[in-house]
Amino acid sequence: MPLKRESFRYLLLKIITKNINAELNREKLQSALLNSILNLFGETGLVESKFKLLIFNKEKKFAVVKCAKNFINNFRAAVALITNLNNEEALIFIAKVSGTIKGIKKAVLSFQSFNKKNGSSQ
Amino acid sequence: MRKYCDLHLKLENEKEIFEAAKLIKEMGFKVVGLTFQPTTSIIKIKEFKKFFQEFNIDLASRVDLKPKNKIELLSTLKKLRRKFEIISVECDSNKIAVIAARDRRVDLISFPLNFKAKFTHSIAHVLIGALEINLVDLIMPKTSRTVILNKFIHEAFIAKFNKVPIVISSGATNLFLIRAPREMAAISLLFKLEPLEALNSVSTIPLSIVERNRIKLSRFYIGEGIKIVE
Repeated sequence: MPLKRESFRYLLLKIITKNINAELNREKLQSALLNSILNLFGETGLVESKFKLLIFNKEKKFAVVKCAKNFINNFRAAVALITNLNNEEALIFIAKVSGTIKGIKKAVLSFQSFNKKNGSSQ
Repeated sequence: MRKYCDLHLKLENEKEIFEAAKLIKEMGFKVVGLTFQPTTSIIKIKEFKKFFQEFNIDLASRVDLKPKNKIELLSTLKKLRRKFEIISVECDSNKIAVIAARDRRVDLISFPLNFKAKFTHSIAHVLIGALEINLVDLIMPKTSRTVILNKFIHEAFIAKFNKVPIVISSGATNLFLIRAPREMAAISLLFKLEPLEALNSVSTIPLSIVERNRIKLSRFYIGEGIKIVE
Protein backbone atom coordinates (compact mmCIF):
# COMPACT_ATOMS: atom_id res chain seq x y z
CA MET A 1 0.00 0.00 0.00
CA PRO A 2 1.48 3.37 -0.95
CA LEU A 3 2.14 5.71 1.96
CA LYS A 4 1.05 9.30 1.65
CA ARG A 5 4.03 11.59 1.92
CA GLU A 6 3.80 14.39 4.44
CA SER A 7 3.58 17.78 2.78
CA PHE A 8 5.07 20.97 4.09
CA ARG A 9 4.90 24.67 3.47
CA TYR A 10 7.92 26.96 3.40
CA LEU A 11 7.38 30.46 4.72
CA LEU A 12 9.41 33.61 4.29
CA LEU A 13 9.18 35.68 7.47
CA LYS A 14 10.08 39.33 7.53
CA ILE A 15 11.16 40.82 10.83
CA ILE A 16 10.85 44.50 11.69
CA THR A 17 12.23 45.76 14.99
CA LYS A 18 11.71 49.13 16.61
CA ASN A 19 15.41 49.60 17.05
CA ILE A 20 16.96 49.15 13.60
CA ASN A 21 20.33 48.19 15.12
CA ALA A 22 18.79 45.61 17.45
CA GLU A 23 20.79 42.40 17.76
CA LEU A 24 18.81 39.42 16.55
CA ASN A 25 19.93 35.86 16.56
CA ARG A 26 18.66 32.54 15.35
CA GLU A 27 18.04 31.11 18.84
CA LYS A 28 15.94 34.06 19.98
CA LEU A 29 13.73 33.89 16.91
CA GLN A 30 13.35 30.15 17.20
CA SER A 31 12.41 30.31 20.88
CA ALA A 32 9.94 33.16 20.22
CA LEU A 33 8.21 31.10 17.53
CA LEU A 34 8.26 27.92 19.63
CA ASN A 35 6.87 29.67 22.70
CA SER A 36 4.11 31.29 20.70
CA ILE A 37 3.00 27.95 19.23
CA LEU A 38 3.32 26.29 22.65
CA ASN A 39 1.22 28.99 24.37
CA LEU A 40 -1.54 28.90 21.78
CA PHE A 41 -1.75 25.23 20.80
CA GLY A 42 0.08 23.34 23.51
CA GLU A 43 2.59 20.55 23.19
CA THR A 44 0.49 18.48 20.78
CA GLY A 45 0.19 21.53 18.56
CA LEU A 46 3.94 22.01 18.63
CA VAL A 47 4.46 18.39 17.57
CA GLU A 48 1.85 18.67 14.84
CA SER A 49 3.43 21.83 13.47
CA LYS A 50 6.69 20.05 12.54
CA PHE A 51 8.17 23.51 12.62
CA LYS A 52 11.81 24.06 11.68
CA LEU A 53 13.78 27.24 11.19
CA LEU A 54 15.77 26.73 7.98
CA ILE A 55 17.37 30.05 7.12
CA PHE A 56 17.96 33.12 9.23
CA ASN A 57 19.56 36.27 7.90
CA LYS A 58 20.61 38.67 10.64
CA GLU A 59 21.49 41.58 8.35
CA LYS A 60 18.48 41.51 6.07
CA LYS A 61 16.19 40.47 8.92
CA PHE A 62 14.35 37.64 7.27
CA ALA A 63 13.93 33.96 7.99
CA VAL A 64 12.67 30.88 6.18
CA VAL A 65 10.74 28.31 8.17
CA LYS A 66 9.13 25.01 7.32
CA CYS A 67 5.88 23.78 8.83
CA ALA A 68 3.27 21.10 8.19
CA LYS A 69 0.75 22.01 5.48
CA ASN A 70 -2.29 21.41 7.67
CA PHE A 71 -0.83 23.57 10.44
CA ILE A 72 -0.26 26.65 8.27
CA ASN A 73 -3.22 28.68 9.58
CA ASN A 74 -2.31 27.92 13.19
CA PHE A 75 1.27 28.91 12.46
CA ARG A 76 0.08 32.20 10.98
CA ALA A 77 -1.93 32.90 14.15
CA ALA A 78 1.05 32.05 16.35
CA VAL A 79 3.35 34.34 14.35
CA ALA A 80 0.81 37.16 14.51
CA LEU A 81 0.71 37.05 18.30
CA ILE A 82 4.44 37.65 18.70
CA THR A 83 5.14 41.21 19.84
CA ASN A 84 8.62 40.95 21.31
CA LEU A 85 11.95 39.62 20.11
CA ASN A 86 14.89 39.74 22.45
CA ASN A 87 12.98 42.23 24.68
CA GLU A 88 12.58 44.57 21.72
CA GLU A 89 9.25 45.55 20.24
CA ALA A 90 9.07 43.66 16.96
CA LEU A 91 6.76 42.71 14.16
CA ILE A 92 7.01 39.45 12.25
CA PHE A 93 4.92 38.91 9.19
CA ILE A 94 4.72 36.23 6.54
CA ALA A 95 5.82 37.71 3.23
CA LYS A 96 5.52 34.57 1.13
CA VAL A 97 4.33 30.98 1.41
CA SER A 98 5.54 28.32 -1.00
CA GLY A 99 5.12 24.59 -1.44
CA THR A 100 8.75 24.08 -2.43
CA ILE A 101 12.05 25.28 -1.07
CA LYS A 102 12.94 26.34 -4.62
CA GLY A 103 9.97 28.69 -4.72
CA ILE A 104 10.86 30.29 -1.42
CA LYS A 105 14.49 30.75 -2.48
CA LYS A 106 13.26 32.61 -5.55
CA ALA A 107 11.21 34.84 -3.27
CA VAL A 108 14.23 35.41 -1.03
CA LEU A 109 16.29 36.56 -4.02
CA SER A 110 13.60 38.96 -5.22
CA PHE A 111 13.15 40.18 -1.64
CA GLN A 112 16.89 40.94 -1.40
CA SER A 113 16.88 42.83 -4.70
CA PHE A 114 13.79 44.77 -3.54
CA ASN A 115 15.70 45.82 -0.41
CA LYS A 116 18.74 46.85 -2.46
CA LYS A 117 16.61 48.97 -4.78
CA ASN A 118 14.87 50.72 -1.90
CA GLY A 119 18.05 50.93 0.16
CA SER A 120 16.17 49.82 3.25
CA SER A 121 18.03 48.40 6.19
CA GLN A 122 15.13 46.23 7.33
CA MET B 1 -8.23 38.53 -6.45
CA ARG B 2 -9.33 39.43 -2.95
CA LYS B 3 -9.00 43.04 -1.83
CA TYR B 4 -7.93 43.04 1.80
CA CYS B 5 -9.05 45.73 4.16
CA ASP B 6 -8.18 46.82 7.71
CA LEU B 7 -10.79 49.26 8.88
CA HIS B 8 -9.22 50.26 12.17
CA LEU B 9 -5.85 51.96 12.41
CA LYS B 10 -5.58 54.27 15.40
CA LEU B 11 -2.20 55.78 14.59
CA GLU B 12 -1.84 59.26 16.01
CA ASN B 13 1.71 60.17 15.20
CA GLU B 14 1.90 61.63 11.67
CA LYS B 15 5.39 60.26 11.07
CA GLU B 16 4.19 56.80 12.03
CA ILE B 17 1.25 57.09 9.62
CA PHE B 18 3.63 57.76 6.76
CA GLU B 19 5.78 54.76 7.72
CA ALA B 20 2.65 52.64 8.08
CA ALA B 21 1.60 53.34 4.48
CA LYS B 22 4.71 51.57 3.17
CA LEU B 23 4.25 48.62 5.51
CA ILE B 24 0.53 48.29 4.75
CA LYS B 25 1.29 48.14 1.05
CA GLU B 26 3.91 45.45 1.61
CA MET B 27 1.43 43.43 3.65
CA GLY B 28 -1.05 43.47 0.79
CA PHE B 29 -3.86 45.71 1.99
CA LYS B 30 -5.81 47.69 -0.60
CA VAL B 31 -8.19 49.60 1.67
CA VAL B 32 -7.42 51.00 5.10
CA GLY B 33 -9.58 52.84 7.61
CA LEU B 34 -7.72 55.49 9.60
CA THR B 35 -9.25 56.93 12.76
CA PHE B 36 -9.39 60.71 12.92
CA GLN B 37 -10.43 63.03 15.71
CA PRO B 38 -13.98 64.38 15.23
CA THR B 39 -12.51 67.89 14.93
CA THR B 40 -10.07 67.01 12.11
CA SER B 41 -10.55 69.23 9.07
CA ILE B 42 -11.68 67.79 5.74
CA ILE B 43 -8.58 69.31 4.10
CA LYS B 44 -6.31 67.28 6.38
CA ILE B 45 -8.27 64.08 5.68
CA LYS B 46 -7.90 64.75 1.93
CA GLU B 47 -4.15 65.27 2.39
CA PHE B 48 -3.82 61.87 4.04
CA LYS B 49 -5.94 60.27 1.33
CA LYS B 50 -3.67 61.74 -1.33
CA PHE B 51 -0.60 60.46 0.46
CA PHE B 52 -1.97 56.93 0.76
CA GLN B 53 -3.00 56.99 -2.89
CA GLU B 54 0.69 57.34 -3.82
CA PHE B 55 1.12 53.85 -2.34
CA ASN B 56 -1.96 52.59 -4.17
CA ILE B 57 -3.92 52.33 -0.94
CA ASP B 58 -7.46 53.53 -0.62
CA LEU B 59 -7.91 55.41 2.67
CA ALA B 60 -11.30 55.55 4.35
CA SER B 61 -11.82 58.18 7.03
CA ARG B 62 -13.19 56.87 10.27
CA VAL B 63 -14.28 58.20 13.60
CA ASP B 64 -14.64 56.29 16.86
CA LEU B 65 -17.43 57.39 19.16
CA LYS B 66 -17.56 56.59 22.84
CA PRO B 67 -20.80 58.22 23.98
CA LYS B 68 -21.86 58.34 27.61
CA ASN B 69 -25.58 58.59 26.92
CA LYS B 70 -28.22 58.43 24.20
CA ILE B 71 -28.37 62.20 23.61
CA GLU B 72 -24.61 62.46 23.15
CA LEU B 73 -24.63 59.56 20.70
CA LEU B 74 -27.45 60.94 18.58
CA SER B 75 -26.08 64.48 18.48
CA THR B 76 -22.56 63.39 17.49
CA LEU B 77 -23.98 61.06 14.85
CA LYS B 78 -25.97 63.95 13.39
CA LYS B 79 -22.85 66.14 13.34
CA LEU B 80 -20.34 63.65 11.96
CA ARG B 81 -22.22 61.28 9.65
CA ARG B 82 -21.68 63.40 6.53
CA LYS B 83 -18.02 64.03 7.35
CA PHE B 84 -16.61 60.53 7.85
CA GLU B 85 -16.91 57.39 5.75
CA ILE B 86 -17.04 55.00 8.69
CA ILE B 87 -18.59 55.56 12.08
CA SER B 88 -17.86 53.14 14.87
CA VAL B 89 -19.36 53.12 18.35
CA GLU B 90 -17.56 51.65 21.31
CA CYS B 91 -20.38 50.55 23.59
CA ASP B 92 -19.78 51.26 27.26
CA SER B 93 -23.21 50.10 28.35
CA ASN B 94 -25.92 47.83 27.04
CA LYS B 95 -28.29 50.80 26.67
CA ILE B 96 -25.88 52.57 24.33
CA ALA B 97 -25.28 49.30 22.48
CA VAL B 98 -28.99 48.82 21.72
CA ILE B 99 -29.38 52.41 20.48
CA ALA B 100 -26.22 52.20 18.34
CA ALA B 101 -27.27 48.84 16.95
CA ARG B 102 -30.68 50.16 15.87
CA ASP B 103 -29.29 53.30 14.24
CA ARG B 104 -28.52 52.87 10.54
CA ARG B 105 -25.96 55.69 10.70
CA VAL B 106 -23.69 53.45 12.78
CA ASP B 107 -21.52 51.15 10.70
CA LEU B 108 -19.66 49.22 13.36
CA ILE B 109 -20.15 48.50 17.02
CA SER B 110 -17.51 47.10 19.31
CA PHE B 111 -17.35 46.11 22.93
CA PRO B 112 -14.41 47.18 25.09
CA LEU B 113 -12.61 44.88 27.47
CA ASN B 114 -14.01 46.47 30.62
CA PHE B 115 -17.03 44.09 30.34
CA LYS B 116 -19.54 46.84 31.25
CA ALA B 117 -21.45 45.92 28.13
CA LYS B 118 -21.86 42.53 26.54
CA PHE B 119 -22.82 41.52 23.01
CA THR B 120 -26.09 39.68 23.51
CA HIS B 121 -28.65 38.01 21.25
CA SER B 122 -31.05 40.92 21.78
CA ILE B 123 -28.43 43.42 20.54
CA ALA B 124 -27.42 41.17 17.64
CA HIS B 125 -31.07 40.80 16.65
CA VAL B 126 -31.53 44.55 16.11
CA LEU B 127 -28.04 45.29 14.80
CA ILE B 128 -28.13 46.95 11.37
CA GLY B 129 -24.37 47.48 10.97
CA ALA B 130 -21.64 45.01 11.79
CA LEU B 131 -19.78 43.76 14.82
CA GLU B 132 -16.13 44.76 14.98
CA ILE B 133 -13.48 42.65 16.69
CA ASN B 134 -10.23 44.46 17.38
CA LEU B 135 -7.28 42.07 17.40
CA VAL B 136 -5.10 44.49 19.33
CA ASP B 137 -6.83 43.32 22.51
CA LEU B 138 -5.56 39.82 21.83
CA ILE B 139 -2.13 40.78 20.50
CA MET B 140 -1.38 43.08 23.45
CA PRO B 141 -3.54 41.54 26.18
CA LYS B 142 -4.26 43.69 29.23
CA THR B 143 -5.77 40.73 31.05
CA SER B 144 -5.37 37.01 30.55
CA ARG B 145 -5.41 35.97 26.89
CA THR B 146 -7.84 33.15 27.65
CA VAL B 147 -10.42 35.64 28.97
CA ILE B 148 -10.13 37.73 25.81
CA LEU B 149 -10.28 34.68 23.53
CA ASN B 150 -13.38 33.51 25.39
CA LYS B 151 -15.01 36.92 24.89
CA PHE B 152 -14.27 36.90 21.16
CA ILE B 153 -15.51 33.32 20.72
CA HIS B 154 -18.74 34.28 22.51
CA GLU B 155 -19.21 37.39 20.36
CA ALA B 156 -18.47 35.52 17.13
CA PHE B 157 -20.90 32.77 18.07
CA ILE B 158 -23.75 35.23 18.73
CA ALA B 159 -22.98 37.14 15.55
CA LYS B 160 -22.99 33.96 13.46
CA PHE B 161 -26.19 32.73 15.08
CA ASN B 162 -27.98 36.00 14.26
CA LYS B 163 -26.35 36.35 10.83
CA VAL B 164 -24.61 39.57 11.81
CA PRO B 165 -21.57 40.44 9.66
CA ILE B 166 -18.26 40.39 11.54
CA VAL B 167 -15.43 42.75 10.72
CA ILE B 168 -11.97 41.82 11.93
CA SER B 169 -9.65 44.80 12.34
CA SER B 170 -6.24 45.25 13.86
CA GLY B 171 -7.07 48.32 15.96
CA ALA B 172 -3.36 49.10 15.85
CA THR B 173 -2.22 52.04 17.95
CA ASN B 174 1.33 51.78 16.66
CA LEU B 175 3.18 50.42 13.67
CA PHE B 176 4.16 47.17 15.39
CA LEU B 177 0.57 46.14 16.03
CA ILE B 178 -0.47 46.08 12.39
CA ARG B 179 -0.96 42.54 11.14
CA ALA B 180 -1.06 41.14 7.61
CA PRO B 181 -4.54 40.25 6.29
CA ARG B 182 -3.96 36.49 6.13
CA GLU B 183 -2.63 36.53 9.69
CA MET B 184 -5.72 38.43 10.82
CA ALA B 185 -7.91 35.82 9.16
CA ALA B 186 -5.84 33.05 10.79
CA ILE B 187 -6.34 34.60 14.23
CA SER B 188 -10.07 34.81 13.62
CA LEU B 189 -10.09 31.06 12.99
CA LEU B 190 -9.40 30.80 16.72
CA PHE B 191 -12.86 32.34 17.28
CA LYS B 192 -14.39 29.32 15.54
CA LEU B 193 -15.08 31.11 12.27
CA GLU B 194 -15.02 29.06 9.09
CA PRO B 195 -11.99 29.73 6.82
CA LEU B 196 -14.14 31.48 4.20
CA GLU B 197 -15.95 33.56 6.83
CA ALA B 198 -12.58 34.56 8.29
CA LEU B 199 -11.31 35.72 4.91
CA ASN B 200 -14.54 37.58 4.18
CA SER B 201 -14.33 39.40 7.50
CA VAL B 202 -11.04 41.00 6.40
CA SER B 203 -12.01 41.58 2.79
CA THR B 204 -15.52 41.60 1.33
CA ILE B 205 -17.49 42.61 4.44
CA PRO B 206 -15.43 45.72 5.36
CA LEU B 207 -15.12 46.64 1.68
CA SER B 208 -18.87 46.53 1.18
CA ILE B 209 -19.33 48.86 4.18
CA VAL B 210 -16.89 51.40 2.71
CA GLU B 211 -18.42 51.19 -0.77
CA ARG B 212 -21.99 51.50 0.57
CA ASN B 213 -21.08 54.58 2.59
CA ARG B 214 -19.25 56.22 -0.30
CA ILE B 215 -22.36 55.86 -2.43
CA LYS B 216 -24.44 57.37 0.37
CA LEU B 217 -22.02 60.29 0.79
CA SER B 218 -21.89 61.08 -2.94
CA ARG B 219 -23.87 64.07 -4.22
CA PHE B 220 -25.89 61.79 -6.53
CA TYR B 221 -27.46 59.88 -3.66
CA ILE B 222 -30.99 60.90 -2.65
CA GLY B 223 -32.30 58.03 -0.60
CA GLU B 224 -32.28 54.26 -0.50
CA GLY B 225 -32.67 53.08 -4.10
CA ILE B 226 -32.86 56.63 -5.46
CA LYS B 227 -29.98 58.49 -7.10
CA ILE B 228 -29.51 61.29 -9.61
CA VAL B 229 -28.56 59.98 -13.05
CA GLU B 230 -26.58 62.40 -15.21
